[in-house]
Parts: sequence; C-alpha cells; structure tokens
Amino acid sequence: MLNNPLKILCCLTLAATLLAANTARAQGGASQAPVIFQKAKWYDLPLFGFRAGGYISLQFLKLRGNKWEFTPHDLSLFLSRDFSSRLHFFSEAEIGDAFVVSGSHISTRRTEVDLERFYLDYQATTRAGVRFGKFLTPVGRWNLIHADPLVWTVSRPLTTAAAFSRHASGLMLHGTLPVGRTDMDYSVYADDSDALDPTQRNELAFPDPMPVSTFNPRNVFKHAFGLRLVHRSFNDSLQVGFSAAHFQLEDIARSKNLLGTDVFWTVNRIEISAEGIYRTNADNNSTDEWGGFVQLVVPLSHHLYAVGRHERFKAHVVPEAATIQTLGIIYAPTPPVKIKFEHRGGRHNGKLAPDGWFASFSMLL
Amino acid sequence: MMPVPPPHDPAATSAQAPGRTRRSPRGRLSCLACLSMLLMGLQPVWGAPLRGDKIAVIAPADMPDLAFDQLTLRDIFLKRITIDRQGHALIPLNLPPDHPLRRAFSIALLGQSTRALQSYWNQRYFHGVSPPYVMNSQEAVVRFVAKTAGAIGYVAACEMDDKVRQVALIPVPPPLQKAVRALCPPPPKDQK
Repeated sequence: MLNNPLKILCCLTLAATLLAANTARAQGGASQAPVIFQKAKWYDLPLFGFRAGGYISLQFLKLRGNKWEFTPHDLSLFLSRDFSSRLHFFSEAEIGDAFVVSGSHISTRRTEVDLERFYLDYQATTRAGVRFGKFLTPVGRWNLIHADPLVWTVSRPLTTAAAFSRHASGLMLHGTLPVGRTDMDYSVYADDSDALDPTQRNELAFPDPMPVSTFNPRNVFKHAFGLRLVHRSFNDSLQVGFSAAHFQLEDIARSKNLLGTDVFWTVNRIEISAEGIYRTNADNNSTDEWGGFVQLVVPLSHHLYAVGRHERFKAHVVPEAATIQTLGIIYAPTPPVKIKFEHRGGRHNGKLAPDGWFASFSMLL
Repeated sequence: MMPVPPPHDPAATSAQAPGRTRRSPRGRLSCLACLSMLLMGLQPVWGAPLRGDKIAVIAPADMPDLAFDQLTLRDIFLKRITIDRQGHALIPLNLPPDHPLRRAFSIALLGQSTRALQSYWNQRYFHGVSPPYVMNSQEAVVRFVAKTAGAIGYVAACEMDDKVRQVALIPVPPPLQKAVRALCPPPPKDQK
C-alpha cells in the first residue's frame, strides 16, 4: 500500500517519466528532451466561440496527528471568450477535493464546487481595462498565481491568504503604465461581495484542519476597496509590489485596514520572493494580524529544484506568533508540470499550519 | 599604415583641436539622437543598413495607431497592450520556439530567453491570455502581416518586403548574429 510519503513521491515521478517518454516516442523522437506538454493549451469549443483550459492538482498530505490523505485537490476549468477587441470574458470553475482517500476510507465530505472567477473585461484604452465580476483579490503576488502548477510549494504561506478574502466581487480598473523604461502594473478595485457573490461562501481563513476550540473565521469580504501596484524592472526579473485594502469580513464585525508588500527577483533560474502583510482594525490602533515570508528556489539540475521558505505569522485567533519552515524538492519536466515533495515544520504552528508532509502532481492542461 | 577615413565621415571633415574632437551642432544632434536610440535599444528606421544582423519589426501598410518605441513593442509582444489607440486588436506573431530569429528577438526586445518566457506565459494562461500566434516561417509572417489589420511580426531585415512596413529595427545580440545572418542570402561578391 502507498502509506509512505517517499513511496508516493516515487510513484508520481515514475508515472510522469513514463508519460513523458511515451509522448516523446509518439512524436517520433524528434524532440531532444522528454516532453509532456511544452505549454498549456486552449481548446476551442464548438459553442458560441468559447475556448477552454484549466489545471489539475493531485495532492498527498500527512499532517501530524492525522491520517495520510490523497485527494484530487483542484480540478479547475477555465472558459474564455473574446466578444470583440475590447470585451473579454473569463471564468474559472473548480471542484475542490473531489474525493479524499484516507487509510481505507473514501470520503466526499470536503468536496466543493466553486466559481473561483467570473468576469468581463473591457479594454477602455491601450493601458487601462475595466473588470466587472468575481476576481482574485489583488493583494500580494501569490494570491494572483496561486494555482499549484505555478507555485513552488504544495502548502500555501498563511501570509498570502489568511488575513484577507482571496476573492473579490465588484469593479476593478487595471492595466500597465510605462515608468521610464520600466512598467508599472496597477489595480484599483471596489468590492461588494455581500450583494454580488451569491455562490456558497465557505472559504476559511485557515484551510488546514484546526482544533475544534480554535475560531476559524470565514474569509469572505462583505465590502472592500483597495489598490495594488507592481513595479517591473530589469525585464521583469525584479518585481516589487505594494498592496493596500480597507475591508469588512463576513465573520468579523470591525473593519480592517491592510498593507502589504512583495518582492520577486530571479536570476539564472534562482528565485527569491518575499511577501509581508500587516492588518489592523480600522476603528482603533490595536494590531490584529501580521505575517511575512521569504522563499528561495534554487535549480539543482535542468528539471530539479529545491525550495526553502521561512514564515512568521501572527493570527488574531491564537496568542502566539507561528514560525513555519518549509523545505521541498520539485521535479518540473516541463514548465506546465510540477511534481513536488515537501516537509513543513515550525514552532507554535500546530493550530494554524501543522507540521506535515506534502506531495503533489500538478499540470496546466 | 593608417586607414583613410571615408570622405563623408564627419569626424574627418570637421576641424580638430589637439586632444579634443570638435563637432558641429548638427553632429552633436546626430550623436545625441544615435545615443538616445541606442539607449532605447532600437535603431532608427531611416538610413539603417538592411543586413541580417538586424531584426525588422513589421506591420501592415495601414499601421496600428501606436508609437512603436521599445517599451510599447515589448508590451505588445507580452500582450500587456492588446489594442491600438483606435481600439483595433493587435495581433503579435512569433516564430517557432527553436527559430534562431525568435531566440534573438526574445533576448533583444523582451530581455528573456524563450524558455524563461514559458513561465511568464503559464502565468498569463492562468489569467486567460494566450501567447502570440506562431508562424512557421518568416515568409508566413510577411504574408500574414500584409493581409491582416493589426498584425505585428518580425523578420530578419534582409527578408523585408514591399507588402509590409518596417516600424522598428532591432540589433541582434552579438552571440546570435551568426545564426541570424545565416538566414539571409549571401551578399553579392563585390559587396563583401
């Protein structure tokens, strides 16, 4: 039985290698490297001009004190359509944890069908677009590219998700402006999820299982507005972001102010990234929630990478600040495919992000 | 033996003080213009030699209503700009990933290798944006651009055609010049 993290990792790696070898053979051996998919693809649908894409993520986790679990964590479907040169539609529907295999049991108790994104984009000028609908909240870098095939770890830093709603519904002005010889991306948004998002909103601040006694609020905006700026320089190899938001959450009475910053730097396939947030109550000066992390990704060979991350997070639901360290290894046979294996540990982290082993196979379709 | 400067060389025709080169105001202006162009990473379209070590960015005869400076071109090929000032769609075109001209173009204009850009396009895919269409050859690029409003492509400068308009010339990075020159027919012997 596959009851050991290393066995799971070996099986996933073997499956990917066999798939890669078969695909290369089917292509007549023309390609020099094993190829599964060189890039993610859109599939034209014979239906009103729509096209489809998506990604999958199969995850294995073994948290301390819990049984090991295997689940198709994300089955995500994108639908997109260009109505004109200015008007575009995009949506993402997701089945989360379609089933969970734990020991000898299979459960669908955690299964969720969610409309992650659903919006119309109107390109008003060359450098300004207006978005209306449900979109990813522009706070930090991770939340905007959070799909498993696009990030380097299976587990997500608390800094990137716990202090604000991951989705917003409303209006957003966004675009890219030239600043000298560099670019500045901007997003300014106003959210009214309370009125605009009828979908079931049961997203929790801390998605990992928590002790029953710990309050785990739903992480959903009632109302919000905010902005995000990202300065891209050195041909995008250095990106510095700043986020600010004022919002009210469903389960917490008082309004919040949030400031965040993030940095991304890459050179010779080495990546250093960091994010930090600081959330306070709007009606007084008491500190509510803060956190930050630094992550380093280093290539070990052409397709193999190592990742290390150090995070500190102070949640308002527990008295101590948690320290969380993550170490992992990633096999990326092609850019849209990642096979990850990692360990998360730390101090005072048991209630928010318990120690454990994680593995995943993820792929952009 | 010292080489004789050609008669049109401004440095040869202007008066010189010992240890110092004097230039006419027009010369200074030219130097300033060339320096600005070099800083922008582009060469002026006027008076530039049509050699294989330059990449010509081409558009249809009825060009999109845009300023074709380096940053704008970069944003078009990264699909951060998708329409021109009139709201017409822009259609950037690429060559196949292993094509030497594409590798040169990626480095020269986008500042990243084709492989590094795959990560960028995967992130854009997550937001519903596709990479530029890929044409199989430079001839196909010229044909498509000539017939399609809003299309913008690139070819080796020696492949320029009257059916399209050149909107910018980009120098090929030195390590890739040999591979790009090989795409052009050899020059006549008397020009070697």
